[in-house]
Amino acid sequence: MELRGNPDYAYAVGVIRVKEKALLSQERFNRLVEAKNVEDLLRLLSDTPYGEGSHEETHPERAIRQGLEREFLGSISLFSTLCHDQTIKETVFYRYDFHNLKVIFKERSAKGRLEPARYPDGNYPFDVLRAAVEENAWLDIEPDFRDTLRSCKAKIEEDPLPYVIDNTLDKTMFAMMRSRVKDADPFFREWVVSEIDLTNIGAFFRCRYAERPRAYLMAALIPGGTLDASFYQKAWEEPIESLPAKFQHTSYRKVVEKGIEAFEKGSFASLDRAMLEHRLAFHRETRNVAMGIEPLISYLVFKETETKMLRMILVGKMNRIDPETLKEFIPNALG
Amino acid sequence: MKLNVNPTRMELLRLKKRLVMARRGHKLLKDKQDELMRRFLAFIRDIRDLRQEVEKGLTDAFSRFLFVSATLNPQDLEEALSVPGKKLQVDVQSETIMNLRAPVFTPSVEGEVICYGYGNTSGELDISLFSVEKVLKKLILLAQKEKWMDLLADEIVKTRRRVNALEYVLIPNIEETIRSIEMKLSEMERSNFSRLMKVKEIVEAH
Repeated sequence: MELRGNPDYAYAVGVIRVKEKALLSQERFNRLVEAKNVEDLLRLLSDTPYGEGSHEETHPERAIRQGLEREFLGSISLFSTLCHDQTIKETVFYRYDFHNLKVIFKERSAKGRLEPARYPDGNYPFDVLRAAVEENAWLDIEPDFRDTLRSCKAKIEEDPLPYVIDNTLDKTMFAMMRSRVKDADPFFREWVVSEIDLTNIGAFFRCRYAERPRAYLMAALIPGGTLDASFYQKAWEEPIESLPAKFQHTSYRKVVEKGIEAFEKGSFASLDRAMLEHRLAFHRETRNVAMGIEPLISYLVFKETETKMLRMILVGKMNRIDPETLKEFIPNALG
Repeated sequence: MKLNVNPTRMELLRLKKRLVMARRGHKLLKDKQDELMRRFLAFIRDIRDLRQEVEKGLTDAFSRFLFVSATLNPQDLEEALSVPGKKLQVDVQSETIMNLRAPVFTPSVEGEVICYGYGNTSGELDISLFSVEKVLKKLILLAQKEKWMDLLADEIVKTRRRVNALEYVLIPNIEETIRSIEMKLSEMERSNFSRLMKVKEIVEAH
């Protein structure tokens, strides 16, 4: 990765470096996994940001969940405050916009409101997106996003299946992210491409495991990754054991090997973990960036992963799941 | 306990007919109870295996889902599963088993269990839904068989109560009453006979 320096972000990176120190280390995770119960887990979290204000809540599970929610929203808010580059901010927040659009389109199918499925507002408030989709109120939407959204809406109205909604909006989101970062620093291009590749590799194995027709995979693939549709088309014909060789010249060989394990073990847990580790390894490299916007995005990724892992440990403790089983889900590159 | 009837020959004949009928009814009910028991035990064996299979499938599905619900962001999971792609309809008809009207569930399933894209979801979520899908028809079959077993159990209890009522109450009571009427009648006969003898003696003395 090319190292870059942007003095505009000297303060932001300083703040992020301090915040990174507060990320939970692997040792801390190992201790949390060994917690006897939820009360013990809360006690172990009491000196971390997740435990702040926990004494005001009498229910330990609720206190931890509130901490997770607060930290997750806090990391988004921090990114929003520190990031001055509107293009990058929009690229990162597309995820929330498109997720909220999925919720809006699905609310129409479900004929009801899906409040718990909403993410915090991205580039546009939820109600603005809803007004655009439901009432064609486009005034508050930027022209390029408006055109994209209109074409998505037309496509979804033709075939309003939930799978089609997700697939159409995912493809559109990545297309917009790519167009946003095409002139940006290579880090951002690599980041978007890597996200597309990981989504496509996951889709490839999941379609193959479910014995879907090839056309189903082709429709699910997101264009713009380092591996194009014809690559997956050829790989589809290959026996599953020969796939690592097909991917050996890519950085995804390890991920693919774990994908193959899914067929032997009947579980995608290893693949999910390998994909997460790949993501974290990519973002870990930004720790070498002294001044720049990259550490901000990476911090957001690490923080989100941390909250996910803590939520998993919490669920594990609530259901008395063996610590060794929980450890299998915690990625190595965390913290 | 003796029945409250007049000790007459007519009543005796009526009670004897009732006793024959009660014994025949008892035998039929006893046969029915045996057959119900036989079927009930066969059902238990059948259901035990099916229940184990269903419980294993559901445990697997739920434990996977537990981890998925913890590793995915709650909003992503909620959005992914908000609109189900699969529709299950259960048609209920009835069938007669041992004179009982038992329901027959016929499930019809349409659509895809995977109702979301591959973007923000995980393969484990797919597998947990496939596990539920695999076990769904067996679950409905189990519900049907358990309902049948429930009906059979109720019927066994009812039949046993009737058999016991016949065996330990009605038949002994009729038998006791018959015995008592017979004794009464023979007593009356003896008393009549001795009265007649006495009358004959008085007539002969004059």
